[in-house]
Amino acid sequence: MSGIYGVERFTSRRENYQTVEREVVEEADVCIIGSGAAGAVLAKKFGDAGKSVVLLEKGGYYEGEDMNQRDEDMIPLLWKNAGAQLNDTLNVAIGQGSCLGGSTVINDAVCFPIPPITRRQWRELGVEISDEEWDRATGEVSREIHVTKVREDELNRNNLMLKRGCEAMGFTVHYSNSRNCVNCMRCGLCHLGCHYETKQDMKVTYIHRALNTPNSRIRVYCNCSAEKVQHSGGAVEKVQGEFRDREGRTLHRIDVRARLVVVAAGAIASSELLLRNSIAPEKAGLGLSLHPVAFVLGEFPFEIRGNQGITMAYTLHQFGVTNGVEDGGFLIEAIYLPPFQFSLQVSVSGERHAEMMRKYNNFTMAFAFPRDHPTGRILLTERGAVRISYALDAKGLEDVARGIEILARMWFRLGATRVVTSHWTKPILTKEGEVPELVSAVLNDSKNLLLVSAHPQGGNRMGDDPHRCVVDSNCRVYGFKNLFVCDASVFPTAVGVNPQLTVMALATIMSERINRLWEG
Amino acid sequence: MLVNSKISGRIRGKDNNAVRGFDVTGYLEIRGLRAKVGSARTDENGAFEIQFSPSDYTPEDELMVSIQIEDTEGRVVIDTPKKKNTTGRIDFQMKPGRGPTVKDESDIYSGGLSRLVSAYSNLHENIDPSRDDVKESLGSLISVVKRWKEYRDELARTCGLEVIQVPKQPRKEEHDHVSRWDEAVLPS
Repeated sequence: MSGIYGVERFTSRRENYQTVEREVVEEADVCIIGSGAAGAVLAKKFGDAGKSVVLLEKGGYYEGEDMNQRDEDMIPLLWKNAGAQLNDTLNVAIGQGSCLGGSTVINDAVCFPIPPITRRQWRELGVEISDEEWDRATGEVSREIHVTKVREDELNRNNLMLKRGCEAMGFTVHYSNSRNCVNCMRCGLCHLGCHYETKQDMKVTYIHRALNTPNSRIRVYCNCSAEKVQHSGGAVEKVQGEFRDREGRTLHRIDVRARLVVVAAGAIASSELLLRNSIAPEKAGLGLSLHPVAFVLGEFPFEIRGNQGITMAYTLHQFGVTNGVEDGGFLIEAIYLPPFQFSLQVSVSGERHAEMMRKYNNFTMAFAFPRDHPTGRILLTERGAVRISYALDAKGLEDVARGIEILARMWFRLGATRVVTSHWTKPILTKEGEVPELVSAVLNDSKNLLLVSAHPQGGNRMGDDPHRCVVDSNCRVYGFKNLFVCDASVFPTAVGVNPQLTVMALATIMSERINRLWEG
Repeated sequence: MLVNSKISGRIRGKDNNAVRGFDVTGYLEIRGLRAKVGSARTDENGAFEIQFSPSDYTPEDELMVSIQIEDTEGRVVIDTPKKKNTTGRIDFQMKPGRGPTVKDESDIYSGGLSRLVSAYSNLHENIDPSRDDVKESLGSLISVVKRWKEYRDELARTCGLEVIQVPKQPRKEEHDHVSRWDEAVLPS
């Protein structure tokens, strides 16, 4: 019987839910590891094709009514490692979801299709996916998750500031984002999960439909961390996992035997799982991109209240892959962070920090994110801890510096009294004349530039070269008959835009290909 | 006196789709006296707007605003509490209907803050041990996280969250789905 299983004791949930009380042994056609943008789509598509599916999700099952809009409650429940995931030099924070629905539950719902330049470049790198496949899959996903353009009357003051700034600077390629949200309640707390379930995340769309399709055979195990992928002779024999409570204590175990296993745990966790199980050990973890963003805030003598309303609804595309830039480039997107995350971004300390926080309503905020080259690496230490080695290369740094410069000048042009950056040695500017000094600090002292990523990609590169790539164009791991990786970790380069729609489209294409292979 | 003041918003149903034909009545309370300032019916987008330009209060007056929503059959589905308004522009986003209340569930929120602090404190395993500056950065990061409890309430008030947040235990306390902001008005 289809349903969701986990270690929490719930008495009232929309889906059929049961608490796991003992060890579990499962058999299914497909075992999927991860329930985010890829795993959820795969589960539904395999289910629709009549396959039995076991879906393992490390995080918990939380519905809208559980989302209480409080940072200290929701971040530990919904974010991977309670939001504490950083690179090994601690200057890039990497946010990912860890709950049923994955990062789609905690993102800002921004949807861009994979840009034509990225598609072509990926094909040149050996990814055999045609434009027709991308278009059809993107269209299907967009309908399933209700992608619609943000209306002019939905732009909050923070987004309007970016729009005004673009106009003041004479830029011509900037417009409202599309989002997977139906009649947003505009509470501004997308990062803490959507209490109202207007955000069309994987939990309320694909997973809900997969579970409620007549005769479906989909069992979703939450609070369940996949640990071992037991394999021999190029075939996975079983997947072993552990059910853990919120404190990380192991309560029960699960063994899953499946004809086919798909790892869809997201960039970083998918590479980690492969590395832990000696799968593609020389290749897994290489080629990580992050789209690392640098926040730039402008303080104004009037209130903006940037947290009120849709926080991420407007983008400057002028310098990005969406405007024809082939190598690197960057987008500038409006955003406003909930208070706790905001407090971590203000690169000053002590009383100065408190003073800035009291001005929360008077800031405008946006970031520049580069389409960075895949130079990062995920590795395991001798003690088995994950280490993320990442630093922007010269091109990425140049792009970030240019984006920061544009934003700093933009805020001063609009009348900002101060500009706040995320560079520790140049955190505050009081006049536009200081901007060159900031740019110089970014370019010459990058280790003091605090960056944030919500788009880790790569690590299990897709392509036609089995010596350099982890998976082929069908997402099958080289050297394996029945093991696939399908998520952002297979991207051969950064996509250049917010990636969720691309991940979902990829999963749509791959599930159909695998279903066809199966039928064949 | 506030001019071009308005109460606006949008109502959607349980499925998140817009609901048409709901009646919205706006009320102001000034110096303890409650008065209806206007009414509107939601359009095909679920949107409504009530403009008002009161002439009988001063900028020093506390302006308390509330609205009442009736469905197409005249049943009151939401009656919001009165709350102070500071900008003359109030945006209400609403979704009538309440979730079921349950009393005997796991407290999923317990220990959240300590998990947050320990997650940052345990980052030592994931950083480059050869770099002293990195260890120092970690110390600063942990101290900001630890201080969160000290200033979260003040910050919630500053940014208006206390008005908008659902109850701390949403499944255990009945609550309307109303997202209400006093909108700032950008200078032209």
